[in-house]
Amino acid sequence: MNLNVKPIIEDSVDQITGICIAIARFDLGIEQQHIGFLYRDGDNLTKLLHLAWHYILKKEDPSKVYLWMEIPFDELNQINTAAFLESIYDSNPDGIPYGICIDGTRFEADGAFFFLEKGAGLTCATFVMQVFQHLGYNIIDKDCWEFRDSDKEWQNQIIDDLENYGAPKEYITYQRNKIQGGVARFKPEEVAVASVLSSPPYALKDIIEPSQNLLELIVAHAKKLASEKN
Amino acid sequence: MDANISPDYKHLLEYFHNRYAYYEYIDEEQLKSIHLSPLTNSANQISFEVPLYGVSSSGCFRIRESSRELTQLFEEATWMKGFFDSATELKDVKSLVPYYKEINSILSRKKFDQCDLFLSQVQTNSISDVLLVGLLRLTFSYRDYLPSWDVLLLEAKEELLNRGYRPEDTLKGLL
Repeated sequence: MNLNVKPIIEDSVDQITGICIAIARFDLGIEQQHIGFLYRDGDNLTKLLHLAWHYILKKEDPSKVYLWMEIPFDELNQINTAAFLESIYDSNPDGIPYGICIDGTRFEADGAFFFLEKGAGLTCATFVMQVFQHLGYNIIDKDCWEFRDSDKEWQNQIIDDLENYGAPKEYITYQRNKIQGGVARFKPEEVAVASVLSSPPYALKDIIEPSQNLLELIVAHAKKLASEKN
Repeated sequence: MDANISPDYKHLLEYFHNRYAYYEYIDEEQLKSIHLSPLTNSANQISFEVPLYGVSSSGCFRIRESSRELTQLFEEATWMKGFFDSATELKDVKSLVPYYKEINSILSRKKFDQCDLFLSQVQTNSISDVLLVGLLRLTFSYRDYLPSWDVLLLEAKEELLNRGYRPEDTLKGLL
């Protein structure tokens, strides 16, 4: 599968006409990727919209840390998705809670984040999934998504980080209780691959290999940037 | 009714006579002076340009049919006039967002009847390519509350085909 991954440099950003996925590893020492949408906003500027952290939804200029890939939408769907991303940003001035469990979450019609369960929230990756879901374009087959033991380790780390960040005690308790029941993790590189391949929705087994390929490219890009810095 | 009027016009007069709500607002003389332009869209539904109650003659816009509820909706949601007036020109993010916010606002206030009435008035041959897809995607999550959503989907599918698109790709996930 050819993912057609491109780094963000000035020229490449100018090529962006529609909706793309941007993905990066910020810290070479931490096995953690970050994902968001790259798109042309209402002023025809290329922007990155992403859930950076707990109640931090950012719309900003893309940095060269990211790699990007085009989502295979026709022009009509590109424009409509960009309009929806704009409404999400406008409708969530206080951000969106960061959480490990996507169940019970959705975007309201006006793009405002809505959670049926008080402790529910999104990660950077499930944020991307929910945007697609809202528009009727399901990229991940959640029923065929396997829970991995390693998921729990990452989730515990995230909840510790949320706790240290000062998230309310009841929010933390909810997240920890969820982990006990087993919550599937959707990794940024997996969601990125599911977003850009042409026949979604995808089960985990269908995208493990291309996700691994993408991860290698992300790490190589991060190493390249690190070596340039030194 | 004037026996010399054209069959199309006669048909329209009969139509309005049979619509109580409009007959209440528009008398026969007014009706005769209206610039009527019957259109047949891809779904073989006839539409008319009609001025609404309280709106100047320059405020004519195209709607599919008329009713008291519709008149009320257009009075409450004044943005709809702008929407239908410019529906063929709404094709970029900047021009779409204000209208999408209005539609979203109706939905987030759970005014599903209003939104459904709005969707029922959309003529697929009189809106931009982007809107053909956008209105459906925007309201997708609420389709169970919007009986007109499925009708619009079928009409949009046909219209996209007429315009040279592949509906199975453009409407992916909706069909």
